[in-house]
Amino acid sequence: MKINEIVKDGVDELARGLPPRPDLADHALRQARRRTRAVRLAVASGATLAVAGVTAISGIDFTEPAGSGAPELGPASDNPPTDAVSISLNDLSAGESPAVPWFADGALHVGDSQVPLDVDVHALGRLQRVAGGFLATVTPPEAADGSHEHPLYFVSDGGESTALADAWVPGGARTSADGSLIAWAAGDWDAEFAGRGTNTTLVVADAATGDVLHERPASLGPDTSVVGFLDDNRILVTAANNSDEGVYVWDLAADRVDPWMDRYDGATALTSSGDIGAFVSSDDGTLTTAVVDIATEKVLWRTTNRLRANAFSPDGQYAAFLVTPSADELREQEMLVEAGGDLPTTDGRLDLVVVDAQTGEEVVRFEAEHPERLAWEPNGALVFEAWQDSSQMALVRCSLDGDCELATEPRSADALPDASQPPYHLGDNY
Amino acid sequence: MNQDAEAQFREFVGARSLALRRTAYALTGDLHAAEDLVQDALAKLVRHWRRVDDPERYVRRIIYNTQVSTWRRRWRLREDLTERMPDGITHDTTGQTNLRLDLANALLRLAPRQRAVLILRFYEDLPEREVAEILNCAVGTVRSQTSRALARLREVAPELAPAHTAEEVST
Repeated sequence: MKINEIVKDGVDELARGLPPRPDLADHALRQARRRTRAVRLAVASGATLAVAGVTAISGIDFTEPAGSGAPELGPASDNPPTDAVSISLNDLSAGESPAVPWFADGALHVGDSQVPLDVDVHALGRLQRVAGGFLATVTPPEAADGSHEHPLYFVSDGGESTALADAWVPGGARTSADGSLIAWAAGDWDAEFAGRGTNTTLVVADAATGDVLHERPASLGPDTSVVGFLDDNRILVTAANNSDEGVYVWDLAADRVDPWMDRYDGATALTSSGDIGAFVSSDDGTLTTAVVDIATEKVLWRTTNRLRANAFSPDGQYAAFLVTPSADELREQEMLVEAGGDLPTTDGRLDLVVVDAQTGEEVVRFEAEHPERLAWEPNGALVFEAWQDSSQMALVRCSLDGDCELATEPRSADALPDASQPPYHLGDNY
Repeated sequence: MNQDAEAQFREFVGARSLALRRTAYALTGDLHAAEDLVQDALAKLVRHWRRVDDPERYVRRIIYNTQVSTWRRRWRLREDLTERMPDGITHDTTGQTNLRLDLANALLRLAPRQRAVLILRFYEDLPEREVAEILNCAVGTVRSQTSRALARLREVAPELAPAHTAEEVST
């Protein structure tokens, strides 16, 4: 008996014990109809995100690509890999605590300070540091059943949590280059359910006061996210599910949201200065990331790897990403299996690569166990989560010289009250 | 959703719900979780009924992705065997061979991700690349997980999987 026959027989056997559910359609319809609650946008009036000054940045003309008008194709980032720096938690010495925010033991941390997160957390989304506190998107326990709640909180250094958007904000907030503005997209699943069409509210708020400066409904799907500030007047937006996927620009002065660079399916990352962005497209089923010079729309380099929201270093000089097998490597693997060979197992060890953001040229490569989440410290060091033998976890700091140290002490996940949560969390930055 | 659409939805649920619940149960290994998974997915289908061309594919995608997201939230996917059989379901063995019962039990005793790989790959007949996309891993990982799942299957029920070669797995 072949394996597919075994599995089919096994699952068929399971199905024999399933009781009938003649009311399933009724239950599903009722459940869908319950989701009619209006999205509330509760912007904190007393929030104290103290950041001063707005720096004018020259505008960019998005109506025509620079030069010939046709995008130039950049090279693939196919430089030969450098020797990877292998990370073993047991071999690292202890260093300072991360200068980027992380979550552990019910508190938000940065450096040696910590603030209790007075919000029930089922899962943590994007987490970032702003003057006077933190911005965090949180999935509350009551939303663990898949309902669309993913509110955005400001947590002050004094420990006061304020919901900036009590809605579906899966992409979290982004800050302007000088930190004076914050922007987010709040998806409205209720409107979609009620047949009022796809609808997302785009918001820009003053980081110092929390006051909403710009607010605009857009006919984009609920999974729309703000990718970043192109300048103080233009916001890069990416729309995903349930509407036309694509890249959009919200022009604050013109109060318009227009498609942009429609050759891409979406945008995933933008430098803080807004001069380089990562855009994805899917050709022949292969997802490709193009790293693009925003001013000229020229493709600087391409990769089949995904650049997540915080891939770019604070100064925009570098990009970091996890390496996934290329199409050629996958073909080689297929041929190996067809020839009866065994595939090597990685045991969760993956390569984390830092490249030059302008050229895609590899700078340094780290190899670690499940280095899934990463963040750049203000001084340009990379902090990422790493495991040891699937039991111990720590945050690790590495310089671009390849020197690494522990940024937190290794902890056992099994020792935690809730073993479903990792000991440390840098935030999801998809 | 107007009356015609609701009638179409009810017809779809009536025709396909057992198959969907079967897949969900195989993925979750938990009867109640499977029922919730399918009902949630169907509720989402209601919201998008007008725009969905292939309802079954849409619902199955939601089931896969929701279940994988649940595992991700739990962060670490324990690869050790499930020692305790899931509750909530009993098998009437009357007229059935012990072999078929052992098959079901063996599947339920696999670790969630290993079971998922086998279900998606060999029950749902999804290509490896699509399984990799759903599980957010490399194709090579799908294959290595498949090999490990088969190895566990042999441990749990050695009489069921005497010698599955790589060729068999890859077909």
